[in-house]
Amino acid sequence: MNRSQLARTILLALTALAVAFAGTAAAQSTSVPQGGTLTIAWPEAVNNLDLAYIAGWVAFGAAHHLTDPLILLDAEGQPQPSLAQSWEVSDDNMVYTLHLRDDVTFHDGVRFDAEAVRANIQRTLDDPDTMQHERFTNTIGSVEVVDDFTVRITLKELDASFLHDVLAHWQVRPISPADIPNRSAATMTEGYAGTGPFKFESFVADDSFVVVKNENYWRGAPNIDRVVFRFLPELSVHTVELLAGSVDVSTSPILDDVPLLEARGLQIVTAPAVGVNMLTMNVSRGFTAELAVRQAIRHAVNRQEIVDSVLGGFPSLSRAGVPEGTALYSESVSTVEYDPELAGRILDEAGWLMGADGVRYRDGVALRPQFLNPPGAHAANAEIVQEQLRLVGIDTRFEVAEGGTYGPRWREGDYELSMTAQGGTNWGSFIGGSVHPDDFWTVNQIRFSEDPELLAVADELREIIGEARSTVDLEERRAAWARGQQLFQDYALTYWLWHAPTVTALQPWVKGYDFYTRTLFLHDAYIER
Amino acid sequence: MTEPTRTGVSEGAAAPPETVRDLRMSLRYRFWREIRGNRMALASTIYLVLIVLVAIFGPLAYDVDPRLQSLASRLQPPSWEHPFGTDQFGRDVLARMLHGARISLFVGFAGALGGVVFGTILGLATGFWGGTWFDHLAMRLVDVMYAFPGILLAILIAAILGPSLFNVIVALSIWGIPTLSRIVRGVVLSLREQEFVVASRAVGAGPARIMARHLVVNAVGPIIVYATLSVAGSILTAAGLGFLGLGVPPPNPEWGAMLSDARAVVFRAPYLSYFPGAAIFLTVLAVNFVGDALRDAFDPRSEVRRMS
Repeated sequence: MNRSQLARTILLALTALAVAFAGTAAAQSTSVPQGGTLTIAWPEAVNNLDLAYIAGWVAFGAAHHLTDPLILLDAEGQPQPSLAQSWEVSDDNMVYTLHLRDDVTFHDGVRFDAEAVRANIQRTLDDPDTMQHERFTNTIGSVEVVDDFTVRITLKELDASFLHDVLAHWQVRPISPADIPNRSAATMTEGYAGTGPFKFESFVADDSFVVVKNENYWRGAPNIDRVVFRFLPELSVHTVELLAGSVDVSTSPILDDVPLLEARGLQIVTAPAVGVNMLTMNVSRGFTAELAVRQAIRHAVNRQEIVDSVLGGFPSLSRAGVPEGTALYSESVSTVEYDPELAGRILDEAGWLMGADGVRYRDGVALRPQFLNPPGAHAANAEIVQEQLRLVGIDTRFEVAEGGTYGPRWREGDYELSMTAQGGTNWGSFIGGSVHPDDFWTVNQIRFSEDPELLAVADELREIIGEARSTVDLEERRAAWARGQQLFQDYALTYWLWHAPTVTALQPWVKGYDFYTRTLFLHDAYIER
Repeated sequence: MTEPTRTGVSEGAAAPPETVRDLRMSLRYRFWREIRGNRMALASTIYLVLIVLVAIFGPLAYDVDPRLQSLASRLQPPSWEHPFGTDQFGRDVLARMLHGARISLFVGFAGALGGVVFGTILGLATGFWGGTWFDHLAMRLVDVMYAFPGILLAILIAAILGPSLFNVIVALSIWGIPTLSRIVRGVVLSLREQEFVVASRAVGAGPARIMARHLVVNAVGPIIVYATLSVAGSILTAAGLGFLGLGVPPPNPEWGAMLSDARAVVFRAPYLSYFPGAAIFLTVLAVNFVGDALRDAFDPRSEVRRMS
């Protein structure tokens, strides 16, 4: 090598080194800040971290950080790989074969494999206290471990939404097989090892839930070190804490405070939610057992005014429980218009005549249905509905069920009217509320009706829902659901009010977050002050 | 036979002769003398008279429906059209305050009255038959009730019975029983040994007659003092129950519930918390000042202090 060759070699080497350094510097400049604690104001005290038993979105929103789904539903509700990196469905839709990732370990070091998936599904099959026990036992025939990272699930009966409703559901977010024997409905607030981006650190009842980053997370360790969920049921405190900068996120800011928060530089993010707000009517008892009363109630409630005035215009009105632009939406289904005069005429024709005190009477009985409501925003909206009903002569007996008593009372049918909301995991298989007459969260108690006509409607609904669940073709499924939706409208089985997006307030320094199916995901989030 | 005095607490052989004459002054005279010498008590009395008049006549003079909503005009600040502004449902806050005064004062007074009536009956009975198994049993039950902080006991009762106007009054009545029964029992225990009671018994008066004609009359001073103070406690507790959603159900206006509703919009409409908050504060303060004045008026030690 002569001098010029040596000089060229040195120059090339220096150039390469410079490029390498520049590349490193560039890489460093595009990497996001690491570390820090993210504090989230949580609107309810979480009382359950175990996804197998969780019934509510609020608890799921906090606890899901410990786990991963087998199949992830993206923002459009489309299935994406997660712990299952691919899957096959047999031609008859009865056998699902999942090919699992081979690089995942639980927080306790146990390997994630086919046996872990089988053990988790078996757990729900074995434990009648788990939320999906009935669905699993009715649907799943067998779970086989084909090899270390392949599992095969064979169904007992065709379930067209099995992939969306079961495999992508939070019930099948695996936890470590080592933890399963120790878990029951009595250990719901105790920590466990999942595969998720964050690990359990602590849980203090009525106070907080803390998770720390999982350094060995299969998608790469999260950027944030710790996430603290502070249970702050008093929503005005969220505003105070956001303005003071002592919390980074509120998943339930007061909508009246949103303009103030925006003016102070906070990010307000809305995300479509898979759910529907409704005025449920118990068709099996009291005044709401009468069709005319139910029809009049629906025409007397001005939901557009509530959305515009109180809810900041965020929600969209519901046609029949399914939002526009989603798979099961059908324009052929009739909707309900606000028409208080029509409400009055319906009641007049039914013999409910306006009394001198502004309340309607029939045979000396005042039209005073029981109006049971959960506390918080539902109760506030219900007060508006109460007044709108009063104006047409329906004097509701208003009640707010405090201290966690609402859910059990509502499920047992201890109401005639009630403001509530329900949600699901995806629109591909969901009609908003629990419309099956025998569902755990059924919205109208129709199965307990003494009216033969309503009992026949219940049978028809069972048939339609069975047909929809066993129909793979989307058009046929939509048509079946449309018939079900129309039955709900014709018999005024509930009043679908609106579809409300989630509204989240975040400090300007919180970045990289994401939302799927109404839930905040923090794996890629970081804090950049 | 010795003429019974009108104030039970004034009994006592050791009382100086000079004080006995003063202690025979009428309750009314003694109260007004106390009020005249105590500007805070005077102002409080005037305030309470005014607030009661407002509660009775206010809704008649300001004829606006407190339940009528107008979502288009929600959260408006005070103006000529709505002197106290509008709440989150567009309801007129002044109308709600006036109707709320009726409910809050009625609940406060009725709750205190219930406690006074049942507490007095229990105190009379246990005092009269003091030392018997009945007294021991009743007082142990009272001890159990004492074991609960007052507001917790009221919350417990309201939560069990459910939210309604009547149930709040029941909760407040039960809440008031333990203290008053103890006070009355103590007074009766000392009175029942007095000569006029012994004399009554000697001429054949039965327990009911002795209690009604001699014991109640002589215990009326401390009862009135405690009753007045318990009105303040009842109004405050009723407001607390309303605040917690255990009071009078919506849409009835009640000061505590109005204050609770104002929390959600405290940033956008802070005035919504000012009016019910001030009304509760001033009313409870005024009742306490009047109660203190009554206590001083009926307390023989204050007489002694005054004379010395």
